[in-house]
Amino acid sequence: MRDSMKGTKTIIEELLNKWEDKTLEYYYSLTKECEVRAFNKEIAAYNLSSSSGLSVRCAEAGRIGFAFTEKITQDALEGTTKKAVDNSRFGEPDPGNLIYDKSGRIQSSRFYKGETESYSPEEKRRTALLLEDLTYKLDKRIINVPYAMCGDIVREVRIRNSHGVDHEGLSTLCYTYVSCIARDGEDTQVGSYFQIAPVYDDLNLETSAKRAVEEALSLLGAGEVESGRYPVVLSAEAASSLFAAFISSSSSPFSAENIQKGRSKIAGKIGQKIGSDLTTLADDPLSFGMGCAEFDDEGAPTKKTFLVKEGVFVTPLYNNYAAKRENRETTGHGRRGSYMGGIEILPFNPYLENGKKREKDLFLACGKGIYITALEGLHAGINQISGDFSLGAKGFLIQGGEKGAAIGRMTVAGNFFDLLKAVQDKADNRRLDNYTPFSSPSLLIESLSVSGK
Amino acid sequence: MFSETLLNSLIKKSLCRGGDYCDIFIEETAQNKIGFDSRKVKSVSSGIVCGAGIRVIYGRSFVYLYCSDPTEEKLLDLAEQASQAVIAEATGVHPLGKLQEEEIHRIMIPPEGVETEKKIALVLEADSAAREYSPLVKEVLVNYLDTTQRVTLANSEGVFVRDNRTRTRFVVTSVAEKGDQKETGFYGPGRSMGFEFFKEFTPQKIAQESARIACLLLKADFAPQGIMPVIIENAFGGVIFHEACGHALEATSVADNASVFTGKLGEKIASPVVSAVDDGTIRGAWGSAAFDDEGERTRKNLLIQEGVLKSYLVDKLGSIKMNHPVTGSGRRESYKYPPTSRMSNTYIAPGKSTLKEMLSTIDHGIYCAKMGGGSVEPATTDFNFSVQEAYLIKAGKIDKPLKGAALIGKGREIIKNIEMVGDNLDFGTGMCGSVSGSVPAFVGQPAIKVSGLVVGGRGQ
Repeated sequence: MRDSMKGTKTIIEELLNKWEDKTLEYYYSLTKECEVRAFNKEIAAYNLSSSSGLSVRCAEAGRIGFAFTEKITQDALEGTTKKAVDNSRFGEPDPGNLIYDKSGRIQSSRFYKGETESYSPEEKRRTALLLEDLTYKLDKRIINVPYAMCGDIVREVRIRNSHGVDHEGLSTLCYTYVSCIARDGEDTQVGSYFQIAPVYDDLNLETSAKRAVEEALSLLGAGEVESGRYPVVLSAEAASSLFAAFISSSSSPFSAENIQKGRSKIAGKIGQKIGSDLTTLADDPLSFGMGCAEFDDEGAPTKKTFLVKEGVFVTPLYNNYAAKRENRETTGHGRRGSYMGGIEILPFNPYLENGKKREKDLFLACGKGIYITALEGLHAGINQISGDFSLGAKGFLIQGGEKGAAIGRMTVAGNFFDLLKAVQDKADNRRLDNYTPFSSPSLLIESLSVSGK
Repeated sequence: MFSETLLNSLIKKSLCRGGDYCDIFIEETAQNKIGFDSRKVKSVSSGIVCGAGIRVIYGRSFVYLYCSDPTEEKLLDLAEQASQAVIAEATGVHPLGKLQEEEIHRIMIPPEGVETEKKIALVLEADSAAREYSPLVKEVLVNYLDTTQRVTLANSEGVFVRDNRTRTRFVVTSVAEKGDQKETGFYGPGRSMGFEFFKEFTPQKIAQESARIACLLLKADFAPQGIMPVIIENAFGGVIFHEACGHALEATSVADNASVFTGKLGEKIASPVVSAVDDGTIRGAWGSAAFDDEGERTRKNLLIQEGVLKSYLVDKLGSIKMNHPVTGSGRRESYKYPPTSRMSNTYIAPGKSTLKEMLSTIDHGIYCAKMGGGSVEPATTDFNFSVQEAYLIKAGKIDKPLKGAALIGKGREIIKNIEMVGDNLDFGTGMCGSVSGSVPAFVGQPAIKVSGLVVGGRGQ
């Protein structure tokens, strides 16, 4: 344990002793972040932070009370504990309202890299400036690079509860983000690229610059498309963002709680076919990614879980609440955005398994259709319960089995549950270094409604 | 509470190795939330957010440092680190002026003092009201929220300000079912008010509205595809101006030449029937405050007058980069973000047309009674929106309800294509996400008619 946590640990142990007749859970995290942004060959912004907070949950007679504080003094922790105990008086009892009860001690540093934490501010400044420079140099039509950034996050988490859970986790992550604006005559287009890695040396700045510039340039001079139903190839990015919106969300149909409460269309379908043979969906918290962790935010150990195998629905995801309501074990998917929030059910590093083909083979298989490279409005244009979606999109025509002219604006509409069944082919290109909380390869979809002109 | 002497010395220390400007933001926020679903109170939570941030601007650059749970020692350390990160010449510092404090909203019933039992009673009322609206309503989710943010702001130009922002919001989502079909309706008003909010917005009214939409969608057909004229109703319909145009008027993108509206002050950018305003002073409005998060008094900013661009939304850093006066628009979610230019309560000013007149001009189109959310890319103003409640317009009359409609287009085009503006200005409540986090924002407009928009749906 680092010194930064030792004082808090002592107070928490005292409070657990003092309130020994109550069932309590303490969750404490400390996050240090650094972010550097280059703009016009200068360091335009340098952000450095350290934020910490603690939450308490109290389970009492089938009820749960919650309170959090960013004030970490003896008095504040005492007051927050009291508030959580007080909040546990309210509401109707629910059999799920229990604190995770498998005692144990996990000390996790599998995702910690000391070199990320010790990377110097000068090196970070150089990285951001280099990223901006590389982006400008790729093409004369790049007229602005509003964001060329790099940064890192160091996170310590501790969970301690009355049932003997005593876990600590330490992890690091670094990233770059670049966005650029391309102009040709009156036409303006934007491209961007986000990349994460365990250490700075693994970040490939050339790739970031190249992919952002390619995206912006490829859309210059984009035209429109006739409205209608088309076979569609979703790029790895577009497919990932669509799946993330449906699956990496607390409204996910794969959440056991949503199934229990009649808010999922796949309720009662375990063991049944809900997707095409090519649809294998899994979550692997133990591989590096945006959500990697060895234990979930309630203290349950994590493991790789298959949600769908070759189209057959295997299991929904459980946190302790949903599991206790069915008298079964959690799958280790109790998660919270931070100490400020309650426990939800979310996957860590969910993905759709790769295929073996190249993306261009999907164009060939598609023949004539639409290649969608970006989806927009995912926070508003989808309904996780019905599965319906209608979204802004960008992309290209597919003609004669090849990528054709760019399409600047269209909408694409369909239903997520129909789409699972309509996956006809998949590529081998899912990304492991993306910010999107889902990783899918490019997919060939039988057909979707497209609106253009 | 930190002393004036400490704030003065923090500013001095932060600028000791150089820099043009320094500000300090100290925050303590109390929040209470109740979550409810499946006929049960799911969670009752309370929390304290507490932290401070120090920013130094030098030239067109800045450093920002923050910490939780600030103590004198931690703040002095932040100031030291801030000064070390600045690469610039030293400039002068003004000592803090007289403390300014003003309560513009006059909170009648501070929600912190209201017993949890009373708040839970409202949540239960909402559940019953939604279920009583129709037997088709099978599930009701209710969220109660109150927050009181207390901020202290001080800067090297002598500004020294305290501001309290109390906000209350009540959100009901109803799920209606018929056979295999499930639809959701949503309504969630919020105001800069205390518990008195519920006098105007009763849980019944809010719940019934969400249930009405969910039930209506069960009867709706999929929206058609193609380009057609669109009427967007008032209140939350204003999200279209917020996204399609408002974001591109923020200094954040304008100053870095990343907005289509850069350099267009005084030019005609919209149809002559369009005047637009951002006003952070409206009493009780969701996005209001006495001071912005840089210590500037909020104000009413006329953005567009009869189609001509009159002002941007400008924060301190933006004002330096653009040589444009600040507009009281520096905002942030919390001390965890440096402030940037943001909208507060943004609306299209009322015109003279009635809905009937607008409908009479349309043979085939869409009437968007309630908008969902949307987003925009400021560099291109490419926007997208979802529509929660829509109807087909057939031969000048409102026809059948529609679902699953998306609207896309370019913001700089849509504001030129607004042909008619109604007389029924109203506002809707939203949370606006951008580089300085998620901030409460009111959007508003009267009903407007747009000549042609791409409508995306699954119908024919």
